[in-house]
Amino acid sequence: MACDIRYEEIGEFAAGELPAERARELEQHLRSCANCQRRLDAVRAVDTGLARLPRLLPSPGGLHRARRSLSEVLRRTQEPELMRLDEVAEFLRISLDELEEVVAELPAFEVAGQLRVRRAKLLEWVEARERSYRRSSAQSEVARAFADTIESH
Amino acid sequence: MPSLADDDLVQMYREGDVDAFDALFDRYHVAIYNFARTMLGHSDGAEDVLQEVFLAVARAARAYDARGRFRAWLFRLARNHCLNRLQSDRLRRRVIAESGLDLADAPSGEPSPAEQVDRDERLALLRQLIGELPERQREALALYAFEEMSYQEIADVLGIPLNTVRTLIHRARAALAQRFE
Repeated sequence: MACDIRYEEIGEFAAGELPAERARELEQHLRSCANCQRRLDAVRAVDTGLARLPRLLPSPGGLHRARRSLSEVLRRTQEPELMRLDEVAEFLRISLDELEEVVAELPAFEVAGQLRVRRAKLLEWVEARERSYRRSSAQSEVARAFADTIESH
Repeated sequence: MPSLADDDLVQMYREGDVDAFDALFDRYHVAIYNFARTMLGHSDGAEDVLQEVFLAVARAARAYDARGRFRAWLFRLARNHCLNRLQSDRLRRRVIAESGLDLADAPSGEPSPAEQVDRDERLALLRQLIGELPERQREALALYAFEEMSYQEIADVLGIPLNTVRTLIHRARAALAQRFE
């Protein structure tokens, strides 16, 4: 066998992937070809190195960051999309009796005689109330300032 | 939950069990980090990819078609995130080069001090040489050597024919061996 063996074929031989007959030919050739034997040694050294290469670990800070963002996403994805009124009250940090006062304004719907609220709609409702509260606070502020001005005159 | 199969854990997570997701994270985060580290060549990007991949899993778990191929699906996600990042790194380097600015804040290929675990010089050299392989050889070799995936599983992850996987891996091993002679 002339020594025109491809490096890849020596790799296939080392990995035991050559057909039996070709593997036998190559084995015989290796006994007389120092060049191919050196290549085989190098492939085996690479394979040993790959097996021994230690696993790298993320830094404690990086791992902490990943876990923290994950737990936030997990918390959100695991929350039910449809909420009962007691869950709405709990979400708003008020009692069920207090919820009664605003229940007519809630973006709720009825199913089998029960009220349900979609979480996304509830969040929109909260945001609308925030905007409305900011507007009315600003108006009260202006009214107070106006009254103060009138009084001082 | 060490004895549970990946698909069982995904199913439990879909039903609301957050601990099942944590178990998947514990099972695979080192592997994904190492794959990303090999693909990107720097630790900062690999940590970002680790985070992005598991966030993507949390969001896409419902779309996962459970057929015992979670690992291939997970590594496919990781590969996509790495390729996106490599592409933006390349773009960034080109913009910096064209603008004539220096590369002082570009990520370096040097391992961080925390990663100086390859005390054996030959292992350190091997890791460096893997980083210099062409991208396609590098990803195939990482899955073969570090994850001990079968050629078929690697073909599933990379979306290429099995024979191409075999060729990429043997070329990568031969290229490394040539430098190791």
